[in-house]
Amino acid sequence: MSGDRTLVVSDLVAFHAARRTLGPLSLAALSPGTVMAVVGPNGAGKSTLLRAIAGVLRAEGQVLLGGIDILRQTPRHRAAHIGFMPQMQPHGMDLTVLDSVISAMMTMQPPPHPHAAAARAVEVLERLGALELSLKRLDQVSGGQRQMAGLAQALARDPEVLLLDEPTSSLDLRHQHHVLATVRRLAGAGRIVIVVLHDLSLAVRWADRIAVVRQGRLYAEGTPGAVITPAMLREVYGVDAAVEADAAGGLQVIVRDLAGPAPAVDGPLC
Amino acid sequence: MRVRKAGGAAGAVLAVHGAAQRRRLLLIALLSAFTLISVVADLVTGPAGLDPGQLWGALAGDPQVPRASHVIVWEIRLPMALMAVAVGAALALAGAEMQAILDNPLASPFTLGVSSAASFGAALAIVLGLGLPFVPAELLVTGNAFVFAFGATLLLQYLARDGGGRSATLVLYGIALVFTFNALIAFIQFVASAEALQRFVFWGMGNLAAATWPSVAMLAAVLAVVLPFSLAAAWDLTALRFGEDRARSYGIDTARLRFLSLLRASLLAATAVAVVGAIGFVGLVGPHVARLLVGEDHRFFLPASALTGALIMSLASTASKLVIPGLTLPVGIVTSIVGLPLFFILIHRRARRG
Repeated sequence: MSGDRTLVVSDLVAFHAARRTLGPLSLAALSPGTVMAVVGPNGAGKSTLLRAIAGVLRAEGQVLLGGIDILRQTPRHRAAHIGFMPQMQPHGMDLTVLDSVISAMMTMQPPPHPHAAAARAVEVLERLGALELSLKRLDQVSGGQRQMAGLAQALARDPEVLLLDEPTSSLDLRHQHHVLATVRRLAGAGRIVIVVLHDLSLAVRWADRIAVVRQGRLYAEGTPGAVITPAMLREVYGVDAAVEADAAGGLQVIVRDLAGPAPAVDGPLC
Repeated sequence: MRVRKAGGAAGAVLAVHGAAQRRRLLLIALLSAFTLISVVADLVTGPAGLDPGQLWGALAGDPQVPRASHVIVWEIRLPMALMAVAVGAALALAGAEMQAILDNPLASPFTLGVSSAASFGAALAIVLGLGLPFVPAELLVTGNAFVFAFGATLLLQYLARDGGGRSATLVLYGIALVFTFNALIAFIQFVASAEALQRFVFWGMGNLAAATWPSVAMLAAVLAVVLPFSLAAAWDLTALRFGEDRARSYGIDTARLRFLSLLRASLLAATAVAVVGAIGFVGLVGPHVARLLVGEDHRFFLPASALTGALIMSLASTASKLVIPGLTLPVGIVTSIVGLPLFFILIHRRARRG
């Protein structure tokens, strides 16, 4: 992955049926190695943003990767570059975690040999520290473990850009740390990672850049220090909060009270 | 794709995975063998009381075997036995595809009203002689059954959009379709002549005795055409089980996948219904048993479903000749009597899991 493989999102508009559900929204260029967290209140359009970039929703505008607009590419071509982990992981499936990761690879064009896919799937699960899950069935693992399986599925296809929709939502503290440390490592290997997070402390701790989405539009975008401010928290989240530096050199968000009525949430934008 | 050689724990995982794959293949081979044995049992069973020697002689064309035995084996038992296998395979494969694309384990041609729709189309042809223009008379029943079955599945797909298929809602829609088409069928029966009514009622019970070599050949040909396309879509269907978003992010055109899958399921269900009438529960129970045996990797699940359906129908065909000595019951009655308790067990298991 060469240095000029930047991701540029310009004037992105997403539709559900014929209705506009996001945008227009533009993000600053993201270079390989970058982790961007997308934050915002419920229904702001965070998941919609990821789904639009992933090609799951009909979208207009431009999503340039290395100068090529992936929105204009065929779905299979686009899927070779973009990995997406949806928020909801299926349950009740009679399939092992390893089989699920292999199946993710076998839909690639051209598909790898099943033996090569199996070896690669095991390698990915091992790298994620989830090898012991390999032979467990998806309907017999916890929600957090299913998320690890979901991450492995996206990762096994070796995408340049990884889109993760709330990968820590059903995880305990230790696994949250583990997943985000893994995300950091994946970015370190030359990937671009865009991750939706609800927990601002996690976003501040792990992301290089933060995009704040509100009512389907970009409210602010920049480094954690520049974006996470008491003014943003009041205006976007409707809370009276302090942002303080912690001992580790990070930032801590301390919510003191609600600030006036709840900000408007646009339902269809979830 | 760069892959390093696995060793230690990773190697052990791969070894267990490989063994699981081989076990699934073995199960499919066993299902094939059991189906073959069941077909032989089906051939041996019947009111005429042929012993295995006579049966084998008739099959081999031995001139010592009486002409009557030859006719019984070649014109009645063999087409019926093979039709049982083909109908079971077709209905169960249709059920497996419907369960995959509608993301609902209770989906099957019978529970979702597709069989009823096909029956209605067939009733129009049998009773009223109504059908599509330019369709030859001998394909009128099949053509009608297909058009209504496909229309019903398209309607279900439309109703199941936006997540409706992920809940019991879809089954409720299916029940509504069953009632609607059954009411329409009742209306046709009401206005039918006594002779047409008798023909239709007998047909509607699901009867393998209607099997002829051309009808067996037609269903076998549909299966032979559809199965390779089903298997070619196996990975995409497995991916679809992870949800619409995930499958689309893999670059899968899910709308096309669903449409083609429904087309296959309708073709299978409609042809099966057209040749032997509505046969219940095989399309539901077959995939469930297959899932218990080989899991949800559709490379194994789809053929295992077809084979399980074939085996169940073949066993039902044999049973239909044993329940009342000297009399062959319509096989649809047998599958419904055996299938209903199985259906309840499946719902009960699902409720407990949920």
